[in-house]
Amino acid sequence: MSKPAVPLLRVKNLSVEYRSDLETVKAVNGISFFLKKSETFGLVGETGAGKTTTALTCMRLLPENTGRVTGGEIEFEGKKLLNLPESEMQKIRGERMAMIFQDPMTSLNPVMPVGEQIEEALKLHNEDNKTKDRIQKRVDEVLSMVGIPASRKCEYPHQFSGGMKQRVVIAMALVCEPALLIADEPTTALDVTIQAQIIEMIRELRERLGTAMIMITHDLGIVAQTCDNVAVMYAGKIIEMGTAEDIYLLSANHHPYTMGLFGSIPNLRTKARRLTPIPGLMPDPTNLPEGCSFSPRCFKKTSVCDEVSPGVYRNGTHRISCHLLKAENHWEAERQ
Amino acid sequence: MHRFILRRLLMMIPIIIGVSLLIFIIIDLVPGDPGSNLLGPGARQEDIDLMNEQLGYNYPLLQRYGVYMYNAVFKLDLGKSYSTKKPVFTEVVNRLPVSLTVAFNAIMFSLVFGVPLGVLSAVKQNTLFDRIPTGLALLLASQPAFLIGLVLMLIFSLHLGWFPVTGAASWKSYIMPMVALGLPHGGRQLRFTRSSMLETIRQDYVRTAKAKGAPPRRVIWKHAMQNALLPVITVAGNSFGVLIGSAIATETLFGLPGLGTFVVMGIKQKDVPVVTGGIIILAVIFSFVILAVDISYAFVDPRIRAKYSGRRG
Repeated sequence: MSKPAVPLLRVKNLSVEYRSDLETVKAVNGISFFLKKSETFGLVGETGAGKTTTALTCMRLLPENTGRVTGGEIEFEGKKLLNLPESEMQKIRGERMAMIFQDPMTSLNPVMPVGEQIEEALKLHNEDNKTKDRIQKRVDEVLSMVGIPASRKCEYPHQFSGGMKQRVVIAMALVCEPALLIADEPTTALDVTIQAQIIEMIRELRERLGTAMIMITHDLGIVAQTCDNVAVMYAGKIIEMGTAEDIYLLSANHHPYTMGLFGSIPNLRTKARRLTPIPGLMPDPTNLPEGCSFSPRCFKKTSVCDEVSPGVYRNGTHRISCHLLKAENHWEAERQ
Repeated sequence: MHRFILRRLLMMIPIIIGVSLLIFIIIDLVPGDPGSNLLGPGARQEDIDLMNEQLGYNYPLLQRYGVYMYNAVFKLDLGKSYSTKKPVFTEVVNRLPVSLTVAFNAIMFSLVFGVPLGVLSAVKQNTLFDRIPTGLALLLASQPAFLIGLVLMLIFSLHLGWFPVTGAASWKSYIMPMVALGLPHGGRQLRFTRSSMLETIRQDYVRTAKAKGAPPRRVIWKHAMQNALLPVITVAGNSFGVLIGSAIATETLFGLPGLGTFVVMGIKQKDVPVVTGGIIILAVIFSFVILAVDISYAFVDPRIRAKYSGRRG
């Protein structure tokens, strides 16, 4: 891997826990990835794999009482985010790094007109003293960009449909033209036709604005449509990572979990009576198994899997964390 | 919005009729008749009967109620007190400002310290900034106002001599009743604000505001507070309505000529016109307070506003 210019975002060995009096949930366990300018990075995995936690940690928005970063580093535009004072972080949030949340129904303030909510980010990050007119103009601009007539900016969230609300949320995230946009399952709460519209819009906007993006989803179709690089997460770890081609090329080697994920998507070309789901459930994050955390569900498991946590094996841009790759040609162990 | 207010005002007519009829019936069930009450124990039965006839007491209940309400609404006449022979209406009107002032001051005072401390304890949940105010709130909310009043009297009237002990001579007389009533209500207000705020600051839109880069103070006061306000308004409005008529112990303690003492005196002396008139007036005022609370919801929450104006969102 030739070292490119400083990546926009670099996450190194990040571990996050949620601690309460009763238990400790190990949500993220030592993940590393990086993201270049204008690149789209897909973070895929089941519910509870640690995707959202990763995103919230990047924004430093973990719940204060329980969430705790137990190790690792996050570097964004050359700044080490985890050591930054809160006031510095406020300057980054919304201005350089913005987030689209999962549920548009609840992520807008019900008592504030949508225009005002969009405008807020501009006002908070108004370093060059834009006039009121300029700010209003920008709000109109960004609203029409996401396909909402600017005349509706005085309306309240309850007057919008779910898809329209998500457009407002997206407008809110994009209004300051951030360098990085984190989209946390932006379409999960929407129905399929609206999903397609929103994804198409996000793609278009990204191309127009050159915003880098982390796309968090459990929908492999969305990843295929939008992402340059993809990481598959399982139980707080990245178990497979590579370019979209690496992940989607069926003939390449894959982690058994990734294969399972693809097996659970319906295929129109083959006649299958049933989908093949991955048996079992994600391990209890308060009590992760020793060895590979996927081993209890793995159909290719060997005795070593229950005892030793697998290292990372690499083939070009493609990385997999599985003992099986040890025996494969072209794959070499990566030193962590 | 105007139409909503008008509609609510019209709806108050049946409410007031219902409430006053209920009060009228309940008081009618109390043994004794006005004649014997007015003339005293030594009176002859003929005189009592004559008196009852003059007062219209021999007519059926509903007819008497009709006459009473007609006089009340169109002549502002609620009858005369048995004991003082003064018109009840003037007495109520004279006492109303005192009660309103005491209740209003107490509620304002309770809000001024209850709401900010409630917000503080919610934001700093499980720290000392939470435990001390909530502990204090529990202590205050569980004290009767007259006890706090007595302590205040002891300190500020007897020892320091800052405020008069009793009476309603100047604004100074209203300070200690305000504190005595406001402290327990403020304690309750604090706990309501805290729980409402705790619920609100966990909402997604609060996180959205943080993600925009809003500083914590703005997140709390601008985004969370307005959403957490509804229960706070409800509690404050209800407390205000209740306080107007039921601050009896405090009124008695501080010698304030308010409505609460008026009605209680009426009950003790079986002074039927005083009790009926007093309670009906209190019920009417209470309905107006609730109306004001409902209207203020609309100012805080656009969803309710939309419902009121009848347009669908």
